[in-house]
Amino acid sequence: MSMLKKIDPALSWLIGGRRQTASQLLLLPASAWLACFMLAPIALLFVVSFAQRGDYGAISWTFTLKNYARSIDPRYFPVLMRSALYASTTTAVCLALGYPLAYFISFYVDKHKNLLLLLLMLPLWTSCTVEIYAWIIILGREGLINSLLTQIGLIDEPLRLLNRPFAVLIGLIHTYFPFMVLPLYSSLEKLPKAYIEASKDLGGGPWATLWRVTFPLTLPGVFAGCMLTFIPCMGDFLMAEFLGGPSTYLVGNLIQNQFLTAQDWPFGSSLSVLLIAVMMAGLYLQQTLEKKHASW
Amino acid sequence: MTGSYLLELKNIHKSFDSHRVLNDVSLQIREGEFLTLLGPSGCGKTTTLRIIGGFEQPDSGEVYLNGARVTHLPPYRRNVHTVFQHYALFPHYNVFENVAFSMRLKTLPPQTIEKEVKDALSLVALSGFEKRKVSQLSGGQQQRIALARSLVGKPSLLLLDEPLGALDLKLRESMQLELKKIQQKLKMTFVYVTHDQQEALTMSDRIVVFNHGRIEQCGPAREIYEKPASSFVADFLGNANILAATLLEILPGSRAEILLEGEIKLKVPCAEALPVAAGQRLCVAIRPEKIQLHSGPSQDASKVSLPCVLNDVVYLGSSARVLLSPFSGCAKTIQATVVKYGRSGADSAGGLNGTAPGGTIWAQLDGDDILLLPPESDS
Repeated sequence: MSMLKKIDPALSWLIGGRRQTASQLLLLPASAWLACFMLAPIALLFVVSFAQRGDYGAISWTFTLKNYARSIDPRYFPVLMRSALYASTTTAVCLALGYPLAYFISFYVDKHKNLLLLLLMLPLWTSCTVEIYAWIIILGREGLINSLLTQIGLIDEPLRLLNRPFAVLIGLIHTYFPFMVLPLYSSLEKLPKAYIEASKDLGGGPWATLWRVTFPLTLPGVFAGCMLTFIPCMGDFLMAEFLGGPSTYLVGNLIQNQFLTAQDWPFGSSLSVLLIAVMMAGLYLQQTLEKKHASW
Repeated sequence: MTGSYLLELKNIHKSFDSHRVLNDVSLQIREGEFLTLLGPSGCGKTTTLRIIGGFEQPDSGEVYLNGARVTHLPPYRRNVHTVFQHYALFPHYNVFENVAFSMRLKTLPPQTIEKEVKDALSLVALSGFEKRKVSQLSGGQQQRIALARSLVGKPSLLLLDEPLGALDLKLRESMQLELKKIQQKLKMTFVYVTHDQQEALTMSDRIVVFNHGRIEQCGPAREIYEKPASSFVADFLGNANILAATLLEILPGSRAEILLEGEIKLKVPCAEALPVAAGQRLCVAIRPEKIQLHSGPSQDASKVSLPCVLNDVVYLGSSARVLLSPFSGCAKTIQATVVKYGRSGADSAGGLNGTAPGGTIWAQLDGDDILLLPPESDS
């Protein structure tokens, strides 16, 4: 007994120490990757955002706050608002379509759950460019929809479907739908079915059970899905670039233009930094709200 | 014919995939009764409860509640509430809202809800807990809140699915008495599922013993313990030594002569209608507490003495379980319960008289304590 007691601290130290080293080693590859390809570029962006645009798009390393002053110029406010509108519309539509779908897969599908989830993730497997061209083929002047409608004689002139807000929204919803459904599905799957049975047992019909029990208890999944949809939507520029027109100019396009067209890296950087900051603030707010909510 | 019972199950069959869970279960429950469905896990007792609650539908057979057929009604259309095994208290509501849940659905006036919740909480001795979160409650308190939540809607029938399974022994024992008290006070009908025979004996007016999806026996606790209908029931309630025997002769005065394990002739009491005819095999059950141990054969002619080898003694606190190998030819081990085991530090009391494992000891039996049972089926 006394022998064991003597050995014990040494033993626990040894195991504890080993565990720590092991855990650090396991974290190393991912940390290195994130540091190189995520933290370093953001740091660079941050530094560049305080520099000035030199001749022919070069960066002149003199400290200035001018870029930030420009970024919060009211001129750009409508662009930001438009982005927020597109992102929130996409999020709302994804939620409205995604919750019933996730509910269906979780509660009514028995054997083919994994197959359905796999199909759901198909948009993530295909390249974004392929998706965009597919939509162009479907929505274009001589596209699938227009030729179909012309053939059945519903329209004489082809409808203008592309290069409009509608097309951008379709593209955004299509791309980000899985990001909404997967967290919803996982929170519905995790929900103990006993809560639903208890509600029904106490007289709760299907709707009452949904509103009083199922939906409130899956709110963490709803929050997560909304964030995972809203945040990348805010920064998206591809959809507006290819499916949209002048009226669908988004923050993502504005930033992209600074880097690629206007050759004004410092201004593009300051816009990016501000966008990241706003998103981080939003995430922080969401997490505090969720913590408050999850203090059951 | 269905009017006289609160609940009636008629020839219920239920299979999950190809596995048969309930096989022709019929059951009647009277108003105000405390009925326990007892059986080992997988015997179909919980499925029966879920069919009564409306969470499962039988493949065939009918469920009548107050004389009305409710077989295919969903749970929210039956005036039956359930206390779930793990309580299933809503974590996003506080205690008040949990208890008020069924009344909120009926959109009762707030004053009524408040009063009913207050009454229900005082019934389960948790007054003043209204604002607590579910996560702040202990297991026993959660159990009480779950009970209050189910009682508050005044259901005609309360189903309880092993509600005490997660509690420790002391708490379980006090909750058993409290549940029984509440049931008697409200004159409500309780259907209680458990695998704990002690719990069933403590609380029930009647016990239904399930095995392999069938009802083995149904009756008052005392009847089931003292007159088990099968070797399964005898063994499941309070342990029993099940031995094979042959019926030799039916004697006048409700007695019979049997040959125990092909070795010992015994005269035992028997019912008027025996399940087998003379010359056929049957089973006998002997309760461990009915076996007395002595250092020598009995002088009393009305008793049977068997020389046994003492295999082992298992100390159980208030008693001890003695494992014996009776007479050389018998492969079975029989158990005897010794109450006064080791009172003076040694095993002098209770008839062991210092017999060490491996030694010989005499097991004494009264023929009246032997229960005749139908032969074990091979299923």
